[in-house]
Amino acid sequence: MTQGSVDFEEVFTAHADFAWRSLRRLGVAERDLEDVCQEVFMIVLRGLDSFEARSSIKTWIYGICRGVAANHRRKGSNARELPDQARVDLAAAEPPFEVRGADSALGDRQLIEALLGRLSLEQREVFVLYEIEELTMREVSAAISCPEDTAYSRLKAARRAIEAELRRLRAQRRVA
Amino acid sequence: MTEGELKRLADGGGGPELSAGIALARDEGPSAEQRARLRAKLGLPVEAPAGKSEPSSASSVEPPASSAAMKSLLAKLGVSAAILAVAGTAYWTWLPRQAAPRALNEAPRAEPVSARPPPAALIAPATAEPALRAEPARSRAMPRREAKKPAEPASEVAAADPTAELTLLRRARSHVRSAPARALALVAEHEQRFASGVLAEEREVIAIEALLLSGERAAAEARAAAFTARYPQSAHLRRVRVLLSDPDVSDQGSRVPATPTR
Repeated sequence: MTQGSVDFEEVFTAHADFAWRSLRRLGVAERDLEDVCQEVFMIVLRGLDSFEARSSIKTWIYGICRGVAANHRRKGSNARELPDQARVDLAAAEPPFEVRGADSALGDRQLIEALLGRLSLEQREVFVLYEIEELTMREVSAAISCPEDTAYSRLKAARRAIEAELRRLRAQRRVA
Repeated sequence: MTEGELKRLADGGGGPELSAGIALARDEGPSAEQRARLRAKLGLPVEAPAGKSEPSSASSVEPPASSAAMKSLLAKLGVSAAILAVAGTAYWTWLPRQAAPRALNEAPRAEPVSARPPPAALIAPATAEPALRAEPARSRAMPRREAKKPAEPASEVAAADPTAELTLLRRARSHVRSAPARALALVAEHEQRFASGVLAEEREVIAIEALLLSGERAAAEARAAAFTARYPQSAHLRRVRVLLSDPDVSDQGSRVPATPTR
């Protein structure tokens, strides 16, 4: 599969994880991730020849993930507000504030997922792409097809929401 | 406002627990088994197991060419077949290449990718009936092809293998400008192997462009006429028309081949 200017296998190897977690954060249920991820890469495969590096291949793939995830959500029975992980009770995410021992890694992860679950889809998207996926703001705005300023204000709002939630949790721990 | 990137929370701005969580969230992905199954479904070679073997996944990994698996693929895609058609159409048809990804990027924002008609400039009216849908396409393609070529051992096996079909056409597509003769050979291979394939329309568009670039204008026009007659509702009609009236395509060499991205 090396005939195209961009090799599909390389793209899959480099971005399968990214697509997978993006889909999950876009609300695709755990049980459907495999199928939906396959759909995404079928589209990638089909479009790869026409792809040119206008922005990054990551933002292009993210755009595909958004479309496929949105369609998946529209299929009714799959409709859900938040990713599974985001449903984790915030209480379960508290241990890292006190216990920073062997299982703190799990706690940290639950914490971030729970915090993400508190954000609107719009804010979460920007926050995830910028803070977790480390895209530049320019790439973020390309990935979600919105002006850079809009992406920037969503990020700020997301950070405010997350910081407020963290403060709340910390205060809770102190009281308890 | 947007000059200069913000310091990321993971760099310490969000406190240790947040930084740690972000770092962990960055490493997520499918499990080894899920990844292996995905590779198989996408027709990619099996990855060399890193260290330990995975006997438990072996049974669930379907061979890429399993026609049963592939047969169910398009059916399973359901709505996404429509996305494929819309997104794919944008890619295959839109001449200035930079326009195509925009179509993809925009499609997600307007959530009903298949319900909302794409911009008229991009796609011809036919999108109400997506070009890539297993059954209609097959029934359209079957009668003539199969009558013409009754015995095609290869097509029996590959007929329901959209991944292989895509791969083949992708190869053809990549050669159109640099080596149109090679593209035509691949097109012929597709015609033979996927007599009842679901991407017959896409193949024809490639063929027409390759013929034009080979200087075979008459053949290209004949093929275009046949295409128009056979697929009067095709989303690719506009592309075909553009190709025929585009001096750059007839006058080969004046257009720079697609630049490799890597």
